[in-house]
Amino acid sequence: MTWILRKSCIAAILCTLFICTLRADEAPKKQVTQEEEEQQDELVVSADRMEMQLDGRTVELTGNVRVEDSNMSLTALKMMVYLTESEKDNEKDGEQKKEPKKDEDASHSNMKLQRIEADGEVVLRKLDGTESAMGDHAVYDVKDDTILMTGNCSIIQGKNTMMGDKVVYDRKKAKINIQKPRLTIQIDKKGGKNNGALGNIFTDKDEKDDKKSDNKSQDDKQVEDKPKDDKQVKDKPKDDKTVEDKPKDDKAVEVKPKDNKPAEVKPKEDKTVNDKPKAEKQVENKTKEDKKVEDKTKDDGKKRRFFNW
Amino acid sequence: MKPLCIAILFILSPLCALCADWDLGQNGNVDLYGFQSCGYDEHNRLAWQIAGRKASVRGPLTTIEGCELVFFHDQNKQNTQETAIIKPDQSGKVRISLKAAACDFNYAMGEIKSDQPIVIDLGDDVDISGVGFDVDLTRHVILLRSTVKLKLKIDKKTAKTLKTGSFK
Repeated sequence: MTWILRKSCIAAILCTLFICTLRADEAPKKQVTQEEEEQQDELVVSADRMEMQLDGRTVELTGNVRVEDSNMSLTALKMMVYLTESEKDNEKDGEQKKEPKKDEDASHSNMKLQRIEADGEVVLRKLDGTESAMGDHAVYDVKDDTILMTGNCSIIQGKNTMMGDKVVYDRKKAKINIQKPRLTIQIDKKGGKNNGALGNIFTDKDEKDDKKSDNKSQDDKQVEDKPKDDKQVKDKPKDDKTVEDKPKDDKAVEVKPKDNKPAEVKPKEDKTVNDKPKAEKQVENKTKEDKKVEDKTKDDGKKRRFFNW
Repeated sequence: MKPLCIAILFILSPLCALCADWDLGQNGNVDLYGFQSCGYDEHNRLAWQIAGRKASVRGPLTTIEGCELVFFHDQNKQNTQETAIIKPDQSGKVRISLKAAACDFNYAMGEIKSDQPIVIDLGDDVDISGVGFDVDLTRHVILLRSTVKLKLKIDKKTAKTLKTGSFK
């Protein structure tokens, strides 16, 4: 009996050891698979219509085409997906080929994504809403893991837009870069009027002028945005003194519309201004950029007033 | 004896229908269970195979329930694009399978159509699904009509090792 007990105990111990070794072998495999899953990224492509060419391994998607991953979304009118047979899987298949195979396991394909080409109103947006990029054409290369956009490219970041020849989006870093950028920054005019260091000194006069300008029609707005001193500074620097010595004339000039109609208040001294239609036309035809320059020169005009006093 | 033979034949007749060959080219009115059909290419190699749980043959059209379509691609077939790199197994065939709840199979035209959802299996890394499909067996073209969804898995390892430098 003792012999039997001893043998049974030994057998039980051996069995437990064997089972433990099996489980130990299984555990690291599971970890590897989890690691493999973490190292795999997934792209979800949705569309209204798909046409797949089995011979060419191409997939054509049309109608509200959208590609999404964890960081960004890309939309386009049309998209081409190129697939290829993976080499690593072929090596594995080669090892499996030596073993006796079943028809189902041996001949099953393992296609992988090679690249994606998007055409027509391509828009790339970060899911956090900070940046977006637009272009006519985009190509996603799996090897580089980047999206290259070409054709009327632009990046929008808040109120700022940046135009360029090419836009490159790095999927790993979730960053957008642009080649040969041309930046456009919007500046708010309202915030810049009374924020200058010398602005508070002239608040009374500036406020009066603003009230008058606010009550005027749209045709006069161009004139409102263009202080008289600046007009005369650009076109006729000699006349600045005459204007500065004649504040009443400034008011009369403000009232004048584009058509150079007679102003409501016309002192005799205003004739000098009326005789100069070319300057007014030049003023009227100025662009926004000129307005910015004029805004800058406002301070210069104010400074001059200060010193002339 | 005769009634016994008749009874035996009556019992065995459905079994015979299961393993019978039916020419889909001829118009008929037959219900087949365990349906299977295949097509060959120019070199008499197996090109495609379709199977279903039940097939209702009504003239030139065959309605298949629980259908599964498999395409076989040979390595010697032309690859029109450089990206179409096919490295087949020993049998020289790569298999792509399509599964749908039901479909209409026109053997004479070589077309399969359906309004049902479909799932296309291209391996572990590519899954395609949609609603409504048309398959051209001669040109090897699959068309999904609506709500197309592709799930593409990208191996980050290969992307890291192959990436030489980011754009700055």
